[in-house]
Amino acid sequence: MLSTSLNSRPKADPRPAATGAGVGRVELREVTVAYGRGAGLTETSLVIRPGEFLCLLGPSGCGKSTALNVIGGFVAPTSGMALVDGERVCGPGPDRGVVFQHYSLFPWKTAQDNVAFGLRMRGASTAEARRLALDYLSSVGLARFARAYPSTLSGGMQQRVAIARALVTRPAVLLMDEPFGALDAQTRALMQEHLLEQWRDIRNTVVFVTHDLDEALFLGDRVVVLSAAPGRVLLDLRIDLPRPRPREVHASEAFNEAKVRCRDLIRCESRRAFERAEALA
Amino acid sequence: MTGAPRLRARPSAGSAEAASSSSRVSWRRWTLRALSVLTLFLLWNGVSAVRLRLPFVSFANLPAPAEVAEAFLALANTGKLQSHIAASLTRVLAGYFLAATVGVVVGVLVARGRSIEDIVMPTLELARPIPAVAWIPLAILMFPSSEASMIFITFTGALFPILLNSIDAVREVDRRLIASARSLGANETTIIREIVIPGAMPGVVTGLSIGMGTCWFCLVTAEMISGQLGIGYYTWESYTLQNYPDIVVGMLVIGVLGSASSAAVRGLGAVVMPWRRKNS
Repeated sequence: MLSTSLNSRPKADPRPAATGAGVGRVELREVTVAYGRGAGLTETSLVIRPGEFLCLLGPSGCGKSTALNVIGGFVAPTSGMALVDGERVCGPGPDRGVVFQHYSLFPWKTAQDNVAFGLRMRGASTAEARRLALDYLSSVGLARFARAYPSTLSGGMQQRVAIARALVTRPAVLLMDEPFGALDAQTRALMQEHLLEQWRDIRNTVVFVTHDLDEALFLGDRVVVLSAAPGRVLLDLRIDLPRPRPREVHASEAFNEAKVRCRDLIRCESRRAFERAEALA
Repeated sequence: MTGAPRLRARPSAGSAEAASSSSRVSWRRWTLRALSVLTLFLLWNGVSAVRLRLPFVSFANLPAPAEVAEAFLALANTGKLQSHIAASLTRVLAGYFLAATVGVVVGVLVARGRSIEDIVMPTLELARPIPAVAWIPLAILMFPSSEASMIFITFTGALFPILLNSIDAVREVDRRLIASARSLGANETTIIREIVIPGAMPGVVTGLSIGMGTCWFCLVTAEMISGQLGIGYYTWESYTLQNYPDIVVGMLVIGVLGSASSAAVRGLGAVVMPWRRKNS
């Protein structure tokens, strides 16, 4: 890698404390996204408080990924707007880290250089960024994979590195689009705990899209269920389970109560979506 | 990119056992490859020895491998082989490097800008089906030196595979990777340098390797213009003089040099793309 920039840049702190000071407020203001059919949003409004872990849940095609992409700046709304800390979203930015379902690590960079990338973009010299990246990988138990290229890592490992890459710069908001959707059940359970552990130190705002109800209830402070196309907020549920959450929380009364409520709603919605699709066909 | 990433073994999991079994496999494969070439020579020897005549094809006047070997040694002993090869290599490499530069640069520009595509591509699509041999008269008219016209013809041979593969390669860079880079704060320059270029590299190297082959492919055509030197010229001259063994010598030399230089391009590709190596 280039190391010429070792002394040439001013020593900007590559890890600004983006969190903790009430930053990371996300708002969708009457957002409509018109797509050919389905997966759009209709005048959806939603406010996510700083430091809140919000899970977006719903049947496939309800526009939950679309909502996340609007916040991320990857999709421009047809009308309405997304705001992050009062500023209108016009495109992707380093204040919003992203983890996609399919591994989007840079295949030509080692795990360490993937994690270092965001730090370098924030003004750290290459050497400094690589050192911080290695520190971070060590802190999340990935030090021995630092020099591995993504294609030599398992799916779960790749997602761990992707989470590290998104969190190392301590963005105000973390956007996750079904990040564990392609993993097997055991790996998935481990990854959920791994994510909560990493998040505990940062406590930034998280928007986590999933279609797995258990996952949403285990992770979130709040679960929002979107209706089938056109996507609208159907249910907005506070999850008052204590943190840190052990696995056993799955067996608790509160967990089950929330689960039953969400499940019935989602089932009802899925049927509606299915019938509508049938009618269109 | 090659498909979706699958779950794979961790780097530490590669054991000695796996390594030895993979070397056994590669041994087997190399034996098969050698046998394939050997079989070709044996068949060739057989059909020319019995002067096989079939209703649709005749091997009666095909020079035998021994005659060809003799002609090859005769050519090598006079020292002419080396000067033919040197002349051809210069032309091929000159045309190739021009085509590689133009093909990759134009390819990247076309893939990134729609108006550039509309300006450049219709003309190039018109030029693409024109065979190298059809360019000879114009090449002679346009370039003052015959050397330049020969380089131009090898250039046309290499340009299109390099250009078209580069366009595809840049277009097919995973959009998620660009989105990820952007959300990590990368600007356009960084995205081109660190995402688009390495992302397009596998496709570009494929184009460069095919282009190297097609460049040699056009050599005989190009060297029809030549007055004295070049392995393509030698092949063409042997044909006009009806020296059949010499023709086959020329063909085989072109075949060997062409495939060796394509392999060299692929080898260089593997060096600059360490992340694509299987056992890293």
